[in-house]
Amino acid sequence: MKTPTKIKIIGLGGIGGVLANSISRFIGNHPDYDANSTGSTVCDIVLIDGDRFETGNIDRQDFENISNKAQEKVRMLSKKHPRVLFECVPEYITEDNVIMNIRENDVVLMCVDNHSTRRLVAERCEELDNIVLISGGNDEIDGNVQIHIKEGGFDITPSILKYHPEIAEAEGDNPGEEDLEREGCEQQMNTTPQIIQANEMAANLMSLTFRNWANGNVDYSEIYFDIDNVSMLKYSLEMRPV
Amino acid sequence: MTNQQNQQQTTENTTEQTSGSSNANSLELPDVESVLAEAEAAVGQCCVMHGSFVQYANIAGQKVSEIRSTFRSGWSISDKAKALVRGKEVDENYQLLQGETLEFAKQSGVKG
Repeated sequence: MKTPTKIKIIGLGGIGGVLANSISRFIGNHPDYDANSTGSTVCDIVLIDGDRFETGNIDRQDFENISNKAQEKVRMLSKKHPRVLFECVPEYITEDNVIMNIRENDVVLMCVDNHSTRRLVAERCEELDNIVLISGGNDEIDGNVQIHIKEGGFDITPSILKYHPEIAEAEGDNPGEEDLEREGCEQQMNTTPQIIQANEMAANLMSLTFRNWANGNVDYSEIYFDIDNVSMLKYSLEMRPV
Repeated sequence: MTNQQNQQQTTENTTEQTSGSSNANSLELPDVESVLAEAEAAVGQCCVMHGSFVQYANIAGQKVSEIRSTFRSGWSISDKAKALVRGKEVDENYQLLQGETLEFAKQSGVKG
């Protein structure tokens, strides 16, 4: 099994919160991630989010205190999984910090709620030679998970921008940009409802895709799902060539 | 006994066992001709995909615009959804070839 040294989870809302729990448990208890003499795992997990938990999202998100999501999640997960070293970055990803936060050999799990940040991170990953980016998102009842793998400078699967112009051309909704008046999560929830099962489906498919990558078993670049129709479909590399 | 004779003997034994088993359990063996006919029909079918939806159909020769019209309402396909064959965009007049897969690209989910 492939054992990255750093996993970065960007966005800790309805998808990222569930995924962080699942990945932490997987890394913290899988024998292939057993470390060394220090007793810690070989892989660290970095949680990145500039947002604060708001009580309006309690139906979909699991936090004990009202504070920054990355800080709070690190506090909660460190207690449950003491062998995993967690790091916290309580910031949104922006043009100014993306280079510092996304680096060679990272495995990036992107669970953000806007396409501008997806574009920013995807473009950064395109610049690197060795990177794994797994990105998930959902609307009310459906969603998708994408995986971009680069090894030795070559695309093994296509960039998440290649077949998604809505991401490649996105701008103006990154909450970390200074001039943007961020629509609070609570307000967003009132206008565009989300369903916990859609969040969990996306999170579980991201977790599954991480496992498949670690086992060298990824023969797809994208999975779509629909919770009302209980349907799921993966798009092969033949359908979506590099 | 030659290898050929051995193989023949083995085949006869297998046939006897299969027949015996079939009689004992009243199993109906599949009709080979109908299975082959189904497989032959499936080979010529085209595949249409949109998000998590997939459908195989005898639509070779139809234009993309006709296929879009057929699936538009049931699958909620946006007029802006690009038509792709093997990842390459095709226009609305493109006629699907036998066995090809047509995808109406679905946008990514926004929220997280």
